[in-house]
Amino acid sequence: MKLIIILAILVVAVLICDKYERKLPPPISWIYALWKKFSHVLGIIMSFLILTILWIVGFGMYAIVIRVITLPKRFKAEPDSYWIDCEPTTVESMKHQF
Amino acid sequence: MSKPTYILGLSCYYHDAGVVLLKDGNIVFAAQEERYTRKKQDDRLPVSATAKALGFAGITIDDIDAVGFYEKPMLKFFDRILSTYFKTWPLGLRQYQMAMQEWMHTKLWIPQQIEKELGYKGKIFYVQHHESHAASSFYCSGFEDATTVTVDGVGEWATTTIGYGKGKKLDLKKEIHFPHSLGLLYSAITYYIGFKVNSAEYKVMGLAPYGEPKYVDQFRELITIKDDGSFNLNMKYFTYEHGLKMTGKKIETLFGQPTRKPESDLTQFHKDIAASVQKITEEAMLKICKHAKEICPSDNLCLAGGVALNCVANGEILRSGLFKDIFIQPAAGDAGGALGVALSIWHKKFDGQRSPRINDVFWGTEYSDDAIRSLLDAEGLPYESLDESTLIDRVSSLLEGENVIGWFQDRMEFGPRALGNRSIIADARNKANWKKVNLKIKFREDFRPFAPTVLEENTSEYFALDCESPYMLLVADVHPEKREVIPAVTHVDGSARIQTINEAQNPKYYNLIKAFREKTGCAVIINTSFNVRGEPIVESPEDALNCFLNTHMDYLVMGNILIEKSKMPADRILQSGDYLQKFELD
Repeated sequence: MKLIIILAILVVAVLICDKYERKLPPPISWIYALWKKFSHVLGIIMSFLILTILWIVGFGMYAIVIRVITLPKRFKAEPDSYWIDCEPTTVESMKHQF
Repeated sequence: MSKPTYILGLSCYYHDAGVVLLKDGNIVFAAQEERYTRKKQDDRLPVSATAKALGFAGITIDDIDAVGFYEKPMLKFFDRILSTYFKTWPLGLRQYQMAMQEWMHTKLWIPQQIEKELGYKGKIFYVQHHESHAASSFYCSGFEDATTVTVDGVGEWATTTIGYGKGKKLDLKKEIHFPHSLGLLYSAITYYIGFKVNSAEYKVMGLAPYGEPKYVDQFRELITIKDDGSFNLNMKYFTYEHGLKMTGKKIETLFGQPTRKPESDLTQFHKDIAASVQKITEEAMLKICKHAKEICPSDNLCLAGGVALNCVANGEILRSGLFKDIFIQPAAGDAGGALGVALSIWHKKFDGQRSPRINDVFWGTEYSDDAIRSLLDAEGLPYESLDESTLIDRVSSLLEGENVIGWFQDRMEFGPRALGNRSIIADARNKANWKKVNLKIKFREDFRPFAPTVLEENTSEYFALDCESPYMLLVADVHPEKREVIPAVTHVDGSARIQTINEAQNPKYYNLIKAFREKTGCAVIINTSFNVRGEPIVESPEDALNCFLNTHMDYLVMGNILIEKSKMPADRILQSGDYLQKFELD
């Protein structure tokens, strides 16, 4: 319970520091700057680890399934043309990012 | 009086970020972000350029009726990029690590970024990458109807498209999908020859005339081109789908030479490779345009996309006679996508009227003579203020011989070319100027050619070109008898990348060359961009002054103010080493 309370206080402290970053007096500004550098390094390590696990597990499984499904396509005859028909666009489709 | 409709077009987050502001469908302002941040091909959201655009129009972001983004980020990421990872897995971990962080952090949050950085909370529209390119060309062309062809590296899926525009309507009909890309083939060879990808492709084009296309047969192993212009790359020779490099060992085995290290010696082999990829590109472009004419018949052709900056290929298309008239978007690269999306919104969403063909691309920032004088006074540098006719007379005299002059005037150009407002100019009759400008002013490779500006009425006197080329996007032969007359702009194969000019496009620049012709009988001068290697073209008087002071330029003309290098204080000139270090080599 004590640990949770300490963690909660720390999180609140970081959020407050983040909001009033430019107004923080020393030495709080120094401590916060150090924390930001540490959290940045931590972020790089964590994202590297998480992304690698996702690559091996998530992407790996899906890639294998896709390759099996698309296997017959590999034996298709050479097409006469590589042109593909475009899908028509509309004003409505301009509202979307996809 | 009703409030005008303002549309802001944006392109960013790949390379070459740009912004375009339309007022009732007319281009009010357009500029690339790199000019303000001084970072070449800056790809960040164009915050500085947008601030300049709004300031120029005297409006705030709240006055903007619609913002357009030049591609569809979700389609690009969730469809093309993830599909490619599934296809190449387990290869591609490093590219995936880098790309995912970028996408998760920035590129998937376009509306949020626009709101946070630009303060815009209204409607945002998204147009597919190649549709933006096609629109940037068709809607600026003034053609009632036209066949459109766009070719570049890659957008969402498309790398090449064929379309048709009539009136306000523009539809893409056919496309070729990633990873098969003419732009990426050219970039891959750019990498193989040791130049910077997405930046120095034009150097390969400039290098090609020094070589022979001896490796075309090997290139047939890299790319299959059908008679209808569609093509397919043999991906076993390319690594850009999964790697951080464009090519690997297999292409080195195919050509029998390792990848050239940047800044190492260029050999005849590299020149022959450049000539070969150029020949293949021209062949593919001609076939694409021929097929485009068959399936979307029109007398007019509109070109855009990065490959449309290949002016040698453009010249071939023009000479093929496939089309009566050709319009090439001057900002054919990604920055021009900002223009395309803005014009698409104007015509499709607002049902706005078409505008006539654009007359020029002087759409950027400008500085008054008072602002220039204030800078020079603050710097304590001597200068002469002249009236325009005296200035033209003086500068046209100074141009004779070996003087190299920085020419900074009026509004900045949009797109990659300096067309007479942010230019370095010199006498095209003096062959020594080729080396002097390359080595002592631009600090770039000595093989790089220079483009001529010629008075439009004198074009056919010097060049095998019977149409205008105001944006330096066509290459044509210099007449054999004129090659000795203008050696500084005649490339080794007798060709030149021509800019024609008439009085309506740029009266001051036109009058300067006209005065030069009256004095010398020559209607051609050298025009190269006002920058050093790796530096974005100068934007402000301060940028121009810095470039002038730190190179061997002899005179600087800003507005109607003349500055002479020999009168500069000795401690203010030629710290070239420090200056050049500011810019990453391209």
